[in-house]
Amino acid sequence: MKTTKVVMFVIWVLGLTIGLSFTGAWAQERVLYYSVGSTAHPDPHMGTGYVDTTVYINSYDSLVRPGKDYSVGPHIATDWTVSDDRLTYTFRLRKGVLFHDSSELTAEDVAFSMTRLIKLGRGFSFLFRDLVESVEATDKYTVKFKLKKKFGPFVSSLVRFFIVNKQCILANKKPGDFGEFGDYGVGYLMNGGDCGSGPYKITSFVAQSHVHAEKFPKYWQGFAPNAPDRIEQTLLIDPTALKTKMKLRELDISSMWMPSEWYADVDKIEGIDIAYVPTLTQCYLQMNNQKPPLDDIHFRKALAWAFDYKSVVEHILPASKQAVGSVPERIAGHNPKVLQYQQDLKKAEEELKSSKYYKELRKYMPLELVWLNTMPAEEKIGLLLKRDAAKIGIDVELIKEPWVRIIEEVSSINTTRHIYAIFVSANYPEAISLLHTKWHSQATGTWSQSEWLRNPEVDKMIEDALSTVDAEERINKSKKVQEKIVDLSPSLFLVDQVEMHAYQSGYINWPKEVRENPIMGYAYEARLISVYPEKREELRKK
Amino acid sequence: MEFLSYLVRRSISMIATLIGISVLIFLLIRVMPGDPARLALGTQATQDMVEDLRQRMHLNEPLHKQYYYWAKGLLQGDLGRSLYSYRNVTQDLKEFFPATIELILFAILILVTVGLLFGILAASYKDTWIDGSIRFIAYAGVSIPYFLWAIFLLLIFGYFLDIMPTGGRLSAGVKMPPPLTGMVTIDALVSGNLLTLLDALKHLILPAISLSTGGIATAARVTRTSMSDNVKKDYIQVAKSFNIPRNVIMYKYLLKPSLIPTVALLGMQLGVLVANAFLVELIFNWPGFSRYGIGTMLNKDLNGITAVVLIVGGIYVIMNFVVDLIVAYLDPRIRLREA
Amino acid sequence: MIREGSRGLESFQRGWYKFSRSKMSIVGLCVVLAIAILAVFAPFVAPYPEHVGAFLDFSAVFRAPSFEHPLGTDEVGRDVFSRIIFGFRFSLILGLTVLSLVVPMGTILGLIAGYYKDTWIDTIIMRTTDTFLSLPPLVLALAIAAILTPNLFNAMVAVSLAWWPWYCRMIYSITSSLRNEPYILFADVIGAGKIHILFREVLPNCISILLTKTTLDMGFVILIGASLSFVGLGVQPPRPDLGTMLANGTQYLPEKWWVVVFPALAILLVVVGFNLLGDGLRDALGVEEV
Repeated sequence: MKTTKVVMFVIWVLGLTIGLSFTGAWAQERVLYYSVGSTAHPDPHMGTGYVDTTVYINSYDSLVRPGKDYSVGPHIATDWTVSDDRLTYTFRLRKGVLFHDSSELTAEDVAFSMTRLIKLGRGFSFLFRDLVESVEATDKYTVKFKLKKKFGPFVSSLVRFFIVNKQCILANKKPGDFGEFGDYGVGYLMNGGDCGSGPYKITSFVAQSHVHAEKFPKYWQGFAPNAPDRIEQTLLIDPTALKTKMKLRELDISSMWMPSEWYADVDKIEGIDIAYVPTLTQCYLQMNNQKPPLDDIHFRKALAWAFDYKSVVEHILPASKQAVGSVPERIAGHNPKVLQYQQDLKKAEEELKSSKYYKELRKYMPLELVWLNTMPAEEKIGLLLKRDAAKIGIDVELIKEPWVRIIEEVSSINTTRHIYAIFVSANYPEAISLLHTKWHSQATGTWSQSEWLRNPEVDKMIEDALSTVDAEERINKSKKVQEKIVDLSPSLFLVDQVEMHAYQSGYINWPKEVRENPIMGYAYEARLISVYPEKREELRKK
Repeated sequence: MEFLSYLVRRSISMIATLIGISVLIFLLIRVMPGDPARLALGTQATQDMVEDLRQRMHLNEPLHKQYYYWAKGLLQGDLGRSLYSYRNVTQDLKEFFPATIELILFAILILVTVGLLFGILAASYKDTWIDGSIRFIAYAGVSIPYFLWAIFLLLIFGYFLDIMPTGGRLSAGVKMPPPLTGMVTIDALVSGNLLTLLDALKHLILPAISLSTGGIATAARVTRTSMSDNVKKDYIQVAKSFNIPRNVIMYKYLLKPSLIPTVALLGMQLGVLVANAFLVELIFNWPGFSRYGIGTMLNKDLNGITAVVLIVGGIYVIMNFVVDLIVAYLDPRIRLREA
Repeated sequence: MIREGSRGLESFQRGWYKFSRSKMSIVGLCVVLAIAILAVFAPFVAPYPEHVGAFLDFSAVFRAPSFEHPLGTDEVGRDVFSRIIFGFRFSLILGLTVLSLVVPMGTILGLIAGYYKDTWIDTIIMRTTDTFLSLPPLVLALAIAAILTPNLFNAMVAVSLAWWPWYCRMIYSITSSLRNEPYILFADVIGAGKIHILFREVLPNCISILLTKTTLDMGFVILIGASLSFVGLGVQPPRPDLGTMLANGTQYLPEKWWVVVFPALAILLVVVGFNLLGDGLRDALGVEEV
């Protein structure tokens, strides 16, 4: 009987081994596979994250797109004019742009989309909610936006506004809270539906799993030769699984969330290179300006002089650059003339001595530094500060927290801890965007500002810049804001983030201009990437 | 007749326990710090919008009322909407659950075959080097956490040897069989799609093995113990004294009663497997219920967590119930003892 | 009284004799003792005790095992060997703390429930226990850890809450079956207090099963800690908990294998040691139901 059992077991194993010899048909299709780090919200008016944007730029269109020299250029909108009182913007639209159901994109769809975005109140609606008074389709290809107040960077901010197909939404709406519009089609879109006009039509979406899209040949802008017929984005976060997939050529572009050592290891594999994608993101050590001893400017400056910025660039986040001021260098309106701190322990001690807390340091120790549990680099940054702050007698304690807890803590001034290691991005490609997100009092209580700065002068300067419609003037004003911020030294400005992505240079051509686009998500514009399945097969066989 | 009354008694206590779990989960979730509405809407939402959502979620009402709304929805089959994925939780569950079940079934298959085998061998050759080494291997299985097994297997068979798929349920380009049960292997078998079946099995092996490692050790150990305990019993001594061959004693008289604790164990293992499946699902990119569950917990998706914990608890309770029934059927002493 | 004493010694000797007959059990005992010694004397045994705290040395990052660092260094340059030794200490503390919370609590509740079997006390206690038992420990621990701030203390709380019901149920079944034994009834009749009965008459019968289960559970508590860390909840770095080291190290496979393999072997050692010890105890003490 025992032998029978053993025999059965062996047969079972053999049977499976025979099955092993069947390699599943590896499609010779032209497909682009990439991995992302979090789940997507396929509805373009619902999401704000990195992954969301990669879906939107491939499946939907916006009025304007980032162009050369950090500005924005025409996309669906061909040109636009501003009224004399600076409150009315008139956009003329391109003719012949088709949605995925082959109907034409008209001004009515644009007006409908903006109304939908604002009414839903999610996603990027916060950019427009208090700004847009009305939007109207004055004729088939002209849209008029009336603003409540002057807003200089209005056109720039429209890179985050995507257009949906009005008929498609209405045809797929379900019962909901928006009166005649029901649920505004959110149920349909968030379950894998598609009402877009972009180069790739969404075919499948499973939350926390994947987004698949297929080529829409009638896209108005055309495709690079050998652009993929399908794109498949999969949620993969385990470094080992990702590494294995890269090696087996099952993944073409990796996400940027891997530890830096992972990229170094994967780079060694034949046919794989690392793409360095600059961003409009900066890494900050955000200090709570209302919590002693950080409410004293000398204390803050002491920490700023004590920190070892070079090590971050050399060891922790290779390929990044040390920050100059509080906005990344690559953004329109960056002020290169502000003070850049370098590690100088003597200066740090001097500053500390002139601090009012110098005599009673013990009372306020330890300072708590919070880092995000999914970012191992932040732990190293924290250890760095801990080591160097100890040299001038400041004790720092490291706390690892999940994102939801961080959001919760910073929402109220009493629960906000001393220091948070956070990466903050600009919403649209202008310095004033990041300055507003970070330093204006409106932004307190959110993760992008755990500093609780509340400086009325800064607020006024920012508001003034925002309402300046003339671009050059606005840029000058935002440069002044940057000077003021650096003077106040509310946080430590560490590095301008450069993302690292491993990609299969052996069989895909990811053009430099595409992959070095710093606007969030645009590096993944699939229609400009070429895929060569024959070469993939070759590399697989090796 | 006793069996019937036992059945009734156990059913009542099972329902009571299920209600107890639901209350426990409910309290647990509500105790959570952080405003679920604010978390769902994001930090840019206005206070009005948050208030609005709180109203719609009945968050401002007293706890027992909230429980009532939730229970009512539950009985109607509506587990609420996930604040995170914006879809109905019930829908999410329908999509992900069969994948996990499939994985677990295969893990149990492996677990039972190998575990029993090891246990019997260890008991037959008790206290020899065979026994020792089997026990050692079994312990190694248990002491290396599931996720590590998954990673090691993935590395060996995927990264280094490249003979097994690295994730997902089917290879790219292989079509899903018609969704009868949601379990790819069964659907493929039933619809006659043998190639798909083989492909699906290939994808199942590594995750299923990873998941079964802990259970193998436990099954082996329990079988070994119960067999070696029963060996001392009188009726075995009698059989030995009649010179009945060792093999016959082993399988005819010893094995069946020794299986009782093993069966009891399997019931518990099922719950453990469902819980631990997420570790494996994460690594093999298996679109299953456990991975979804982890997502809800990490994102504090209220409705999602409640549903997931309830389901897992429910499975556990039901399995215990079934196992208790089987054991009671097999062993009259237990029925009578509880009387 | 004297007779009791000598009886005690006799049964100990008997137990030891049985125990020592099994080679595997002796191995288990030795392993556990070795680990315990390492854990207690960790600061003296570890070559780089300062690496256990917040240490950072970019020049020594990811050194392969060498003479200076026999088990290599990790991603911030810390010595793996030292961290593993302290990891033993830490994991043992974790296990002992959890179990020293869980065992008394579960035992006392189980004793009470068993003694007052079929009364409302029994029902309340056992229903609560069943409810907690209905959730696999990992799920419960995860749910709780997700709610609370992830740190060592809360991880222990989470695991404890998931673990105590097992002891309660176990003690309950022993107590309730012993309840009707003649000597218990006799003690009650002659006026012995309930507490006396529970602790002097019933409890000694539970000791062997308690001992066995506790040793077996040590390993499992550590493993649950590892799973929690893998998901990002649980022990905070830079604390050298074996499970956390393991979970963190998986990102660097297969090239930097030493940050995973050695902590895994360490955990293996702990779990196998305690399991062999526990099995030996069970065989020696004649315990049936574990």
